[in-house]
Order: sequence, then C-alpha cells, then structure tokens
Amino acid sequence: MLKKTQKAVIGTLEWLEDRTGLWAMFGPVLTHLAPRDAKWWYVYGSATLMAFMIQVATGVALMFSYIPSGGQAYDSLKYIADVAPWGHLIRGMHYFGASAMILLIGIHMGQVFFHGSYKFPREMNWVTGIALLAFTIGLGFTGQTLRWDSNAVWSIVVAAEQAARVPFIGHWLAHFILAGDNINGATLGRFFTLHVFVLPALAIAGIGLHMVLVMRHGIAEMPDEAHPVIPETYREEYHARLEKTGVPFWLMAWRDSVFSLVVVLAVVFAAIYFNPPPVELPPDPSIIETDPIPDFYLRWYLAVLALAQSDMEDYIILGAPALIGILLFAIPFLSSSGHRAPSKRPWAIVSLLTAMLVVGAFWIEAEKGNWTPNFHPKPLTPELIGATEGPIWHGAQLFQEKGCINCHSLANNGGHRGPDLTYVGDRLHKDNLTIRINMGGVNMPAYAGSLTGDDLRDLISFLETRKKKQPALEGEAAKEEPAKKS
Amino acid sequence: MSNDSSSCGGHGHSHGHEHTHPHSEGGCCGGHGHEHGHDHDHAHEGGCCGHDHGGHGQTKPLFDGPIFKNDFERREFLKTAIPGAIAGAALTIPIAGYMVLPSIEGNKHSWVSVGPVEKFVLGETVLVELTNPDDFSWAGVTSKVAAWVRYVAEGEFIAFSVNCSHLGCPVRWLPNAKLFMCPCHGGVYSNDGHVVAGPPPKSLNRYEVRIEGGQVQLKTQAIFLA
Repeated sequence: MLKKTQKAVIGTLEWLEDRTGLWAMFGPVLTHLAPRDAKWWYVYGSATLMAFMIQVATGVALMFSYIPSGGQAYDSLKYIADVAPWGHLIRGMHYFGASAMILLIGIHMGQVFFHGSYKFPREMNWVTGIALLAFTIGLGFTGQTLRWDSNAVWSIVVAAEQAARVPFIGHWLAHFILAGDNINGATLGRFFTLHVFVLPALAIAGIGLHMVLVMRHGIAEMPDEAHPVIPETYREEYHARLEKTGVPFWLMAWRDSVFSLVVVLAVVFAAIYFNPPPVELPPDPSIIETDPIPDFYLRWYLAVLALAQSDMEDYIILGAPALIGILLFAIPFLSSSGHRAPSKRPWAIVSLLTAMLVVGAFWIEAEKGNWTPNFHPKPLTPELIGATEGPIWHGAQLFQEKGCINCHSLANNGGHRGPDLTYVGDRLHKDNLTIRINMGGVNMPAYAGSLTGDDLRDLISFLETRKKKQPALEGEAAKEEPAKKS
Repeated sequence: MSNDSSSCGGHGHSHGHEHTHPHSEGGCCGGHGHEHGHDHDHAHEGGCCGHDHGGHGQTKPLFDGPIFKNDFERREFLKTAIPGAIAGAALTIPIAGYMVLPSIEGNKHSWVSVGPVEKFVLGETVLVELTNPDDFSWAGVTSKVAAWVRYVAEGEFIAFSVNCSHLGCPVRWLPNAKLFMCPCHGGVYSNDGHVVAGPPPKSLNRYEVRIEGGQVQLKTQAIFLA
C-alpha cells in the first residue's frame, strides 16, 4: 500500500516535471555548488529579497483599503492607520520593511564592495544591483508621497522645483511631475502608478536578472590574497576550486533562512512597538504649517542640498545625483581585475570608509537640521533676560519680535540657522553688533531700515549683557560678587 | 524565435549537439552544470545551430547563431522585427501621448474671490486660500493654494505667492519683523518680497489682484519655478 502510494506520488511528480520542466529550470538554483566559505557574510542579499517580499505582501494588503484619489487618499490612509483592524500593524510593517530593505541594500553593497566581489566576471551583477538600488530609492520616495498628507504634497513641490533646474526641459519636467502647473487632483495618480506598478515591475525584473547573473557566474568566494582575479584564467580556476571544495547551495542556505527570519521578526516587532511616521496634516496646499522632510534614509541627502552654497546649488542639485550614479555604475569597470582581498586594496577600503563617513556626517547634520529657522521658540524668561523692564527688557522683546530668535538661539532657545548668541557679549562689542545688525549678511537680513535708533540701542544693550557671567542686577548686586570681565 | 528551427532546417547547418537528453536544457551548447538556466535561453536564441561548440566546458562563441549570416537570415529577422517595431510604436505613441499631453497643454487660470474688501485691515498682511476652479471634482483639498494678501492703500492690494523662489516651500509672514521667512532653508524676504537673506534666487512671486463687486479677487497661476 505504502509502496503503491509512493509510486503514485513519484509518478505524478515525474509527469509534472515532464510536462513543465520546472525542476530542470529551478533545480540548479538549489543544487549548484557554492563556495564552502560563503557563510554569514553572504546573507544580506537574500535578506534584502525577503524585505522586498515583505513590501510586496504588505503593499498588496494596504491596497485593499487605500484609495488613490487626491480627495480621498488622506482619509483612507487615516482609516488604515487609526481604524482598520491591524491596519496600524500592516502600515508599520510596510514602513519598517522599507527601512530594512534600504539598510540591507546598503550593507549588501558594502559587503560586495569590501570583498571586491564586483570584479570580473561579475561586473553586471553590480550594475544590476545599482539599478535595483535606484528603483528602491524611487519606491521609497514615491511611497512617502502616497501618505498624501501635507508633508507629501510639499515634498512633491520641492521635487518639482528641483526638476525645474534641469536645463531646457526643466519646466516641462516639473509640470510632468505635478501633472499640471501646480499640485492638483491628478498629481497623486502619477506617484501611485510609479509606486504600485512601474517601480515594482522594474524591481521584479531587475531582481530576476540579478539572480540569473548570480547563477551564471556563481557565488563569489571569500577573497583570498593568494587568488587575485586574472580574467584569462579566473573562470577555470573558480570552477576547479568549486568542483573540489564546493557545497550544494541548499546545504548552505540555512543561514540565509535564519537571517531572513531575523529580518521578518525585526520588522514585525518594530511595527508593534514603534510607530511609522505619522500621517500629518491634510494634503491641502493652503496649509503652510509644514517643513517637508523625507524619511530617515533620504534625510542625509536633504542635508547635502540644504548645506549647498547658493551659488553652486544648481550644480549640486543636478550634479550630485548624476555624479553619485555614474560613480556607482562605474565601480566594476574602474577595477575589474586584480586583488579582491581588502588587505590588498587599501584605497578601496579608504573610499568605503570615506563614503560611510560622508553619508554619516550628513545624516547627523540632517538630524540637527540647523538650517531651518525655528518658528515656535519659547518666549524668553525674565531670568534669562536678566531684567523685567527698561532697555534690556525692551531689547529682549525686540529680539523676539523682529525675528532674531527664529535663527539665533539664547541658552538653547531659538533657531540654529545663525550663530548662537548666548554669550555674544563676550565676543562682540557695541560697534560690531551695530554693524552686523544694520548690514546683515549672506543669511541675515539687514535691519537698518526696520529698527529705529532707540530700538537698535536697546537691542544692543540686551545683546551686550549676553555674557558667561551675568552682570549682577541692581538690588541683588550686594549678594553677588562683582563680575569682572577681561 | 520562430525562425530558429526553420532556418536551421532550411539551411542544413550541422547541429553540434542534438537534443539528446530529455532534460538537457543546457545540452545543446554544452557548458557548465551551474549555468544551465542561462545556457537554455542562449541555445534557443541562436547558439543551437551554430558551428561546432568545442568540448564540454570550453568557452563557446557568443552570438554565433544563424542571425545575419546571409541575406536569407537577414530577411527572416526583419520579417519578425519590423512588425514588432510597428506594433511597439502603435502602442507607445497613444500611451505616451496620454501621459504627457496634459502636462504640455497647461491649465486654465481664472479670477477667484478671496473675500470682501471690508474683511481686510489696512496695512496688514494675511493668509488667504483660493480653490482652483479648473481642478478635478475628485481633487478635494488638493486644489487649494494659499497667498499672502496685503491691503496696501484704499483700493490697492498686493498678493504674494506663498512659494519660496528657492525650492517652493511655503513662506511665513512675521508681522512684527515685517519679513517673510521660509521654513526649509531659512530664505528671508522683505516686506515687498525682495530677497534679503538666504538661498532664494528671486523675489517672491506675486498674484494679479483686482477688486470686483466689493470682492478682492486673485488670478490663479502656475506654481513659480526657478
């Protein structure tokens, strides 16, 4: 009986294989030989794929409720985020899945670069990987716009304004992004279509090609100083080594499986215990209480743009992405042979570290966001001002009314766009202060026309008292030691 | 694809390897076991009918297929390619046109009331919102925009676009400082919209304003692009 069943099952499988050829097509994915040292360094690619699958699955789930209409998307997203059973969880998983995917791509790229795995004959593995990176960033940005809140519409405005800087076709490009000459009812459709159809299709095709290339060239071994890449002999030597010491892929895949599980669990737990970015104010462009900021993984690039000097800004807005893109695509062609071992590629390691430091530094700057004025500073307290009436008090009021505090901070209250003025009295004398306030600077308006002589005098008296040790107040002077300043 | 077998048969090229194995997806061109998937495609696209392939595992010549070896094959190729190209164009032109034309045609702009004159206080600058009447019925709040309107003198209004000339963020009016300030990168404009600090390249854009039947009206316009 058992034998009969077994025979029937085998017979069915054989029939299926004869008619479909599925095993012949996909069997080699499992059985092909992988280098025996392909261990924990190699799990990031498959984990990225797992993150992508999370995105596809949670994205499909979100689509059950999302309405891609300019007038209704916001409400439907509010419903998903706040009302729908488990809607908060699924939205969270989609957000943290996206974050995981971008982080894992970064690690995967870093590992491939670190180990020189992009070299001959795997140049196109790298190139298709960069294309996938671009699709993923596109998915990230378009995904943020589907929140269709105030942050989304203003981000699209900023994107269109950047596109408008392109020579010749800039304005047309901006209008194409906006689906008109301003944000309107058709704008969301573009971002929706890109996010839900175009980019996922490109990503799936790209992933397919990326995997075909992995199969074609085999999984790279761990770099070995003794085996630099010599294109004439590399393939033969690689296959010879593999025949001797390789292990069928499916016997090594448990690590990928375990790490992918970690990724899935991390995404689910993050979705349970942390919140995705909030759905902000409605997508009403007449609401101006906004400061459009991308999600964290694009924020370092925001800092690049914000810190660009204004006279080279056009070149940076257009040139930086082009340059970064070209450089990334060019990497395997700049060095396609020779050593893979990090110990023999000091400059490659220096480049990798430099790239990480640069991105990290911009990231930190972006978190500080010092280039944005503070529109909601706390009122200065009498203790901080050191007076409750008189010219110093009046100067302090002017400091707040005239917008100084929006860009300059005092004892950590106010903006950080301009220099911190907590101790400006130690640095600048009356004459310097007068000149700076009257004349302004590159990033500071000149106040000569908008302050009366009396106002200026009071403002300066207030600023002059901003010293490390406050000059003692009258009445309390007796208690304090007289502060002598050098 | 379709001319694969016909040209092979018709021309009597010698088959390096026949399909000797039922599962030999790579058998046609030899090649490595690890490369089965790829070899399969390759074989069917042109490798199958080529010359001898050399021994197992040797590098085989790429693109050594039947295409373009003689006029017959060129004709066969074009017979496939030309209808395909025409079909592609017949699909691409209407689709691309549908996607691109709306953004070339531009939008209609019209006068929109933002309130009666009495609502405005002489010398004050206030935020008004206007709804673009040309927008789609499903646009919802998306079709609104804001403007800073100042009642300058009897019968005279100025309306500034809220969009910073730098990257389009909405500027805010600081009434005491008499400055417009941008939240994104700290661009600052004077009372009359001139740049006084920060990155903006140009003055604040203005709307056309008129008074019609006691109503202050602004003419909708395209967003300002640098």
